Amino acid sequence: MNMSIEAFKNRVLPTKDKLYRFAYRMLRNEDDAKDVVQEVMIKIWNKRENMDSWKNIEAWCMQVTKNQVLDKVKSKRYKLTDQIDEGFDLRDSTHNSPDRIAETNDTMKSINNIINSLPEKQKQVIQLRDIEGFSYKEISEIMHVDLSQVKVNLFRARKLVKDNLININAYGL
Amino acid sequence: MDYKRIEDLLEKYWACETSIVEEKELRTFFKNEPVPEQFKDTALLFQYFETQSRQKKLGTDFDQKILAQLNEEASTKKTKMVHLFNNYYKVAAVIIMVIVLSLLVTRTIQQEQDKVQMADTFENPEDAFEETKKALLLISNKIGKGKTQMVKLSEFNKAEEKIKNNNVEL
Repeated sequence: MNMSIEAFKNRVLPTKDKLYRFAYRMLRNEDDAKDVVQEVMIKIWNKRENMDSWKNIEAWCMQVTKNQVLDKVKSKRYKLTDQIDEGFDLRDSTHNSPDRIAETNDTMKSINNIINSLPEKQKQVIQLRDIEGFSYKEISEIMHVDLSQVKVNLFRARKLVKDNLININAYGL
Repeated sequence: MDYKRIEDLLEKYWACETSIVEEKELRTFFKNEPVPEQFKDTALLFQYFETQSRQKKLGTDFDQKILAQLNEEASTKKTKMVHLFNNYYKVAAVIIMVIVLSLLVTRTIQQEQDKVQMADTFENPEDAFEETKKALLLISNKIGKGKTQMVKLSEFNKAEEKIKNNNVEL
């Protein structure tokens, strides 16, 4: 079955933000992440005859994104940008005091740094599970690893985050 | 308020035993301020996850760009197909030309060969007639010579017969 532009609009394009966030997590550069998602979209369109073999379009798009990111990182010319401090959108939280917001913002940055400095696979699993809410099975398909590997990586990632979280709050790092 | 359920869920969470639904429940719980003091640290982590899942978005200009690119790609594919067909026509034309040419060449060669086989040795009929006459004369001369020899032989025959007759008479 061929995917029409309409089907592409309804099923593939809506995954763009998740793909973009994943690419950004790995590349830490907005322009590069955007380029990757664009390349992924074109790839998916060109491979649209394989669409039937993927029950889960979102996981398929994410897998293509992961591969595209890895290709980019592997290419010799690519240099990972140094970690940059990001602002966090805390509008939803109801902290009123500016001090509290600043403190929260600092902690958010620290958490961000902890996650960004995790080993690649652990970082991918945290992004896919804790931020985007993919199932273990989907993650194993996306990352092309066994379910047990998904769990091991997630366990290690969460443990590292937990240990570091305690340090942040204990020493105000 | 009893936070036993949240404590249990967190324990499961760190052990990677929570389901997606349970993890959503934790997220929702920590989203709502104020968060009980004992969960302050963990709450920030879940709030971080929550904000991260909503931040960083690609706008509608991205969609437009992609769709334009797909349309462009589709049209270049069509022109590529047209090019391919054009090339097929060219290839077919060349093949036909080669066949026609080779047929022509082989036919001409065949005709040349036929000409050689049927070629006359003389260019005008008079010469040919003279030559034929010569040949026929030569043949008749030879036959004539042969005849005189045969006459000599017949003399022998006559002599032989005479001798035979004499013997009978004797």
